Amino acid sequence: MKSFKFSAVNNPAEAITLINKNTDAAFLGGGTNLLDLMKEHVALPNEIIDIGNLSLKEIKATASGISLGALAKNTATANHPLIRKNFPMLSKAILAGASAQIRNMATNGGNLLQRTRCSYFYDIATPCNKRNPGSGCAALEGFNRMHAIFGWTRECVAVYPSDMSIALSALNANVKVLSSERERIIPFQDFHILPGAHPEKDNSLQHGELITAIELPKNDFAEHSAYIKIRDRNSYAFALVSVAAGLTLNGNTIQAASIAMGGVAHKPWRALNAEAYLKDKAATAANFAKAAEAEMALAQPLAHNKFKIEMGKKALINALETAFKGNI
Amino acid sequence: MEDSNKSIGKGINRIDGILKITGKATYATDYPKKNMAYAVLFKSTIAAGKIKSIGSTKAQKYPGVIKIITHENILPLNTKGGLRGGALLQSPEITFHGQHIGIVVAETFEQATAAAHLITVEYNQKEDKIDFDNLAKKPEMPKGKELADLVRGAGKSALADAEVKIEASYETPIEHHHPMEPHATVAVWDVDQVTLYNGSQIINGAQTAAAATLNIKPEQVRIISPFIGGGFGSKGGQWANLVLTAVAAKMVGRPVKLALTRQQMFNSVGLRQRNIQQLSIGATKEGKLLTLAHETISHTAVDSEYIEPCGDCTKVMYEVPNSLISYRVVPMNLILPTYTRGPGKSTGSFALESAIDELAYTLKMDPIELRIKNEPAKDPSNGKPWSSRTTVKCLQEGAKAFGWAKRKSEPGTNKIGDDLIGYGVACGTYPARQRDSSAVIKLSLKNKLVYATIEIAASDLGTGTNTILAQTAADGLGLPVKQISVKLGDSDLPPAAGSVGSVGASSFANAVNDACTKITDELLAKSGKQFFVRPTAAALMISENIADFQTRSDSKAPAEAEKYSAHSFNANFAEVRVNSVTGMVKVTRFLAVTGAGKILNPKTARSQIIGGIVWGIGMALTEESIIDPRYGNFATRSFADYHVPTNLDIGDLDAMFINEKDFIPNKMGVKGIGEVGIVGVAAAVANAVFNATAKRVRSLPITPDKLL
Amino acid sequence: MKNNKTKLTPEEHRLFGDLMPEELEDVLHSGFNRRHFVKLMGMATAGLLASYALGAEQLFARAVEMEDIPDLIPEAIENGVTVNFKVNSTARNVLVDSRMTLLDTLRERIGLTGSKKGCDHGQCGACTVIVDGQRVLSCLTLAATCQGKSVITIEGLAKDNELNPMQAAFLKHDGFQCGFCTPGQICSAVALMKEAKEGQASFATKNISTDPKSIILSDEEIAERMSGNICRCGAYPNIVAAIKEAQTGENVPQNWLFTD
Repeated sequence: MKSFKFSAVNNPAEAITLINKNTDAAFLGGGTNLLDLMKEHVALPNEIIDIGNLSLKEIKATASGISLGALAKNTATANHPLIRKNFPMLSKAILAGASAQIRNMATNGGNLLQRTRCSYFYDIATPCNKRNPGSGCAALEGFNRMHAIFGWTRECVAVYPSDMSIALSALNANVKVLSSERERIIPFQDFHILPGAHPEKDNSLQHGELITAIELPKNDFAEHSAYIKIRDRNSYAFALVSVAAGLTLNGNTIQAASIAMGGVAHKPWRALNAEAYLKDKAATAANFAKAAEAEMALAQPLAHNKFKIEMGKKALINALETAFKGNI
Repeated sequence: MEDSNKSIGKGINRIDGILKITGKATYATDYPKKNMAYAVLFKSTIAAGKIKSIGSTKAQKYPGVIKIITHENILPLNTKGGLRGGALLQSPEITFHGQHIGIVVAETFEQATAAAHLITVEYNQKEDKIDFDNLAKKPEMPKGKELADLVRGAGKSALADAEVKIEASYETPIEHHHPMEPHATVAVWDVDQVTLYNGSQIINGAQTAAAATLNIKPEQVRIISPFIGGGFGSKGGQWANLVLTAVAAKMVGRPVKLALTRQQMFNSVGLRQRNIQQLSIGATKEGKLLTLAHETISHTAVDSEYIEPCGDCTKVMYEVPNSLISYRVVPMNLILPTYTRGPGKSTGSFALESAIDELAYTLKMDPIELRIKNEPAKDPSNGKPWSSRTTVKCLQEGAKAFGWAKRKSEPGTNKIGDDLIGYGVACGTYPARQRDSSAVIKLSLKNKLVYATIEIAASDLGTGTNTILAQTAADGLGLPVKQISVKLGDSDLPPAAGSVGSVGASSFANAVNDACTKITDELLAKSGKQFFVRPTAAALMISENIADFQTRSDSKAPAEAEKYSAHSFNANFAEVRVNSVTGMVKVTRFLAVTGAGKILNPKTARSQIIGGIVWGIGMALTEESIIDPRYGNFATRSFADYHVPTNLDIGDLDAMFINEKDFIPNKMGVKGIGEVGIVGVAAAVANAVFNATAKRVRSLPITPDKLL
Repeated sequence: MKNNKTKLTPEEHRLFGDLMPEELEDVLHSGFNRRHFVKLMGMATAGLLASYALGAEQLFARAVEMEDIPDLIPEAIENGVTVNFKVNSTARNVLVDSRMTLLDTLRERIGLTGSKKGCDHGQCGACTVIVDGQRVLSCLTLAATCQGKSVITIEGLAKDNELNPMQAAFLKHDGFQCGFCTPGQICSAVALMKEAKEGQASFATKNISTDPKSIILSDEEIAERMSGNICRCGAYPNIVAAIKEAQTGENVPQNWLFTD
């Protein structure tokens, strides 16, 4: 690890003032990803600002829904009765990720900021535009079984690894962000970004901004929601493909579907084509299959991940069927 | 079975267990030393070539850095001293990506690590050999004599006449041992003597290799290794890091601690090589084997040869008049492969036992019946009689206990909800051998109680050596286990074999047992009395009021053993549940029936067997390492990419033992279980996956994408 | 600094007097520490200690006193941070390099080497300790962030020479082989008991939308919740059995079968 100055702060203003003084400073939340990356010499902050003591840990009901403190732990969030009851898909997604120990450490805000698990990103001996802009993408022609099938560019084919964020995407969450100038709300769809020509950026957060909360608007599909994760081993592995789905039903008719996919793109992949197809259709196996078909038709697989198309279809269909059956 | 007066055969708790559950067991890096310095290794980022220059000025100036050691300033070492895998910093030549090229020694681990990142290296790169897929098209003949083509009868040519043929190619990927304890050493010099705290499966082997490499006498090296955090073959032969720690300590004049990082474990301590195995079986319609060919292509290192022998099981498993076992190798710029749990037999049995399963389905015959039909009366590879062979018994008893009859013979027809259920069976074997070992027993009489200390330079890497030796001594001396202490894991103790190749239990236990007999004889002689019933050593110590007495025994395998073929055998039964949506496989039930002679402690033996099953499940379902041929590095470089099984990957595992009495291989009738436990497991799982899905996956691991 | 004169039983007193007379004073004054323990282990094993009529278990269950933190030379610490925290109920005050993890602080500075470094990247669980009641990974925790916190390690689980029931269950069920992952497994399992009591859910939990309530864990639940602790020896079924026994307090049978 590169050496760094360490300070602990007690309130958001202090945190923001400090980080504005140093473009190479980083906030430390749970540390489960940042420390890993620092040990690999991928993240090289020269100053660490420990925000673990800030009181952004509350999970509470608001007029429009529920607010998750940015520093509430993943475990606390997944197990909060309000979340389990009203957003079970989110509980399920959080619990699908990592291990109990990591969920006890990881914060909600930090979960959003997880960086890709692309092994070339981690291996500083290989080129990677995300880690070292302009050096090239080793995964494009390399071992890319785990990589993107949607929205990638020649600059970056990495996927975003969070499970929690896939559910947050389907739940139309908003990210509340504070800086020295203002507080702003970033709709979840705009929070993470596709790689484009600048994969070094994962999201639209600016240096000097601090995530304070994640807001979940009320929905009417809690009972008809699902989170499906397909992975190489039964636990403690990143998704090959995952799907978060919620169905707003009127009898057997789908009024609206809310679907996001993980393991397929540089950001949580909102399955807009599948959603559009399902709107006002009957909840039947045939329609689920057609919706899945509609979404996956746009996939552009790489050399080693063609299987993700078929796997994605199956996962989508299964998530929709599970959501329809209800009782998550 | 269990004689209430005997300790051997009882499933007592591990005598060293208390230390492990309280965090007091001391592994290599757990020894505090005053004035310790910390070393980290840095490694090459090319696969082949030569170091042009190493820029270490910045690192040298980094706070806390004591010394940077490279090929330019290291003390001369003997590169043929018996360590595996080279990388001793003796020349600028690079033969694999990740080869050690230097050591940073600093006041703290943090500083050594940070400084290592400041080092820049320039290379003259040359063309490397790393693309196995291409190189395997033109493999070479192996150098090892034991790997020469073995032809019996008409060999593979008999295939042409067979009524039924199976010809299939099976692939297994590179696997890593990944013991939970990364290889690590603490080195402490006292003038010209060095003490090396280092997990070592072969204590005396580590000592002699370290001494020879350091150009000193074995007596100048002491290996201390009472606890080993797993090894699975990777801590059998020792690797460069052992001696590099010693050199670093010598060069800085302080105790030095050097632990490999998990990432460095991928290319520092050997690996299980990738194999392509072509199986060709010819049989009659009735299922009699006519010909069996097992042709393997493997990679090895460019400057040294080791491959695990995949054809070993095929040599001995079935009665077949015509056979061919062959090996071809591809030298590659990659760390030397090495012994990995069930070397050759585990991967080889995947190919053989999958092919036999394919034959059974082709013949529409029960795979158990097919195997029994081709059971050999004597060892087909050398014509020697079996000391005993339990394959048929393992199959029959296992079938009963597992409920084999519930298997649907038509694959892909057993569906419950989204889950496809399948049953698979596969057999395995591993040779039973005893190796030279010596043991000292010291008896003392205190307060009318006799206490024994057993001294032997054996090792216990979780196998239960401490416990079975205490049990052996308890019975041999007539003492309760709690009055016995076992000292092992120290090269100052009487020399012994290693915990490798399933020779540990038989070699160590026979040595201790012989020492018990000898000490009893000597006490009898000392007493000068005649007894109707032979008294125990403990009774003699008391009756003759002897305060202290000791003896040493040097044990060898019985000469008679050579005339027989002695093996452990098993039959493995797997039940899998394959989710038809996700393609994810769960092994819900597994039963291994093992004939391994005398089971000294069924509790620790069962643990070894289920450990072997877990390894086999990893081989079958999750473990695979990928090389990027452009760089020669591993694209799988951490536990996040290289998936060893987790707790949830494992279902109900059961171990059943044949109560076998075979005293030909050694006096105690112990055959060894550490290796055989993994043999046949991957095939049983793959065969169960076929039974569940009707998909024959011939390339491991069986990840969800392969079952879509 | 410490103020904890060790009370030795007469048997223990005799043991130290016989085997390590030169250390007896030190043991009496500053406690039975890891160095004494390692030395004792070098001379005797469980069996020999039994001759002193003290159950070896009792001695080994005894919490070892932490040693004084050795002073490092000034160059050995960059960006020093002073951390006041509790380790196994003992207050500690330690100056660390800001980069130093809790794991390395425990192992290299406080002399508690029970917690193990299996991967150093949060991918194996061998370093699991309990911080303020939660199981966490000490390899991904900076010591500097532990100000005011309370850390329990494997060395702190036994109380008054009595093993924690989870430790006893691991021993009985052979929930380990090499033992390297065991401290992390046991810390993880001990914390899991509290999680189950609180009704925390896992990915294996059915009907997640119900209110949390205390649960007896099924085998599958235990396995999922323990999947952050890798055991390469493959003791998983035994670990599940041990946890089941510790949770229910009921005897879980151990099965090995023999056939003639």
